Amino acid sequence: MPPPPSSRSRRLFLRAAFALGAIGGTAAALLPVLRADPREAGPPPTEAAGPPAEPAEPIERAELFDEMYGGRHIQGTDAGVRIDGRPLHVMRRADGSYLSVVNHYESFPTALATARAAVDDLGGAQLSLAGPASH
Amino acid sequence: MHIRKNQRNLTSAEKKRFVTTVLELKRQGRYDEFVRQHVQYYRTDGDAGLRAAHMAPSFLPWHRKYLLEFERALQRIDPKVTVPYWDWTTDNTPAASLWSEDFLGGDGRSSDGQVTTGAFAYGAGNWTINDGVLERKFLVRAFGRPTSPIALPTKDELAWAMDESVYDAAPWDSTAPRGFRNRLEGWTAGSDRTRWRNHNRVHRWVGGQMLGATAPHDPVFWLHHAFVDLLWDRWQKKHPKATYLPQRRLGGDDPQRGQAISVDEPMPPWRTKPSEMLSHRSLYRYDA
Repeated sequence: MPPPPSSRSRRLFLRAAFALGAIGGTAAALLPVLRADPREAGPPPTEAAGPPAEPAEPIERAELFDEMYGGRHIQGTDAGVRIDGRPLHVMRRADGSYLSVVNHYESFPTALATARAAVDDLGGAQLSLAGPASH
Repeated sequence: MHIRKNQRNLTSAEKKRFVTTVLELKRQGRYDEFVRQHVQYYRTDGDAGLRAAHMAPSFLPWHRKYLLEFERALQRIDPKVTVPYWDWTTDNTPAASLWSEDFLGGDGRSSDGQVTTGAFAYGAGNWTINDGVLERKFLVRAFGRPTSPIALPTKDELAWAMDESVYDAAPWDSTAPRGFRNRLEGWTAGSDRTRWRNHNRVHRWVGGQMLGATAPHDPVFWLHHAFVDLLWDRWQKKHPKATYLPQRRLGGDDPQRGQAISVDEPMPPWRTKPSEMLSHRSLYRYDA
């Protein structure tokens, strides 16, 4: 059983996987390559419980959150942002702000603001359990 | 040579032809390939790697090529179809004929945002959205963001972009402090009320799928981007000495090397270079 990756190497791994794979099936295809990269030792990001997460953009440690908003459970974790337990694909801008798959034409100063805006714009819809990376 | 027309000037026969052809492309499965391509090439500037489609100088030539490929796909079904454009500074209310029953259908209903009018309403049976992003399968719109209302860009807001004499500027991303491209794309800084200008604001105003990565699920995407394409044309006429920038591949010490595309580098997924997309005059024309 390999030791868990440090939060920094995990962050780098997630960033690399995300940057190379964008959002399509290529992310999954590239995972073996990344696993073989000695600079990125350690297991791929998986969750012990819950739905399989696509490589997600990690959020800053100081930004972790867990709250009910608009009747929805929103969380910011080391593995990214979730709404009702389902991964919300989040991307970063050069100025450090965030966009999500729901809001691609504006950005938000924090991951929390991004999650809340997504809830506002989802109109009650659920994110797909599998996430766009499986398609 | 075909003509792209202002959507407000289309005859009912032309509207019907456009709608019918888009539905056929959807039925064939080709339409959703265009949506996937858009998602795939949406790369933000906070990450490493090449940005071809957004937050980059090639925003305009990439979308010109993308629209051209879409229009060619339509024309393989019906050679007479062209993509109309939507001038959102003029047809700037939900009452515009663009949103009528016989064209793109109207706003989403208040309960769940579902579009229930026109040929792209889920209930009509020909427009199911199944892309793995959301469990919801119907087209959604929320004109003007009812929860916190915003308006479409005005002529003055657009003029602010059109008056800019430089095409784009370092760092060639969404933080570029000046340049026509970023002013038109709409990432430039400002207060909450003025941010998300021009192109971005239009996506925001329509709402639903138009606000997200899968924006082309809403057929208005093509009419919006045809107008953006026309605006690039008008900007070139207004600033005849201006060129696409950067003109040369960025140097080895430039942090944007390998991320921003200069005029003679190919734009994925095609081999097309921005230099091949600087004029559309041999391919199509606009009616204005």
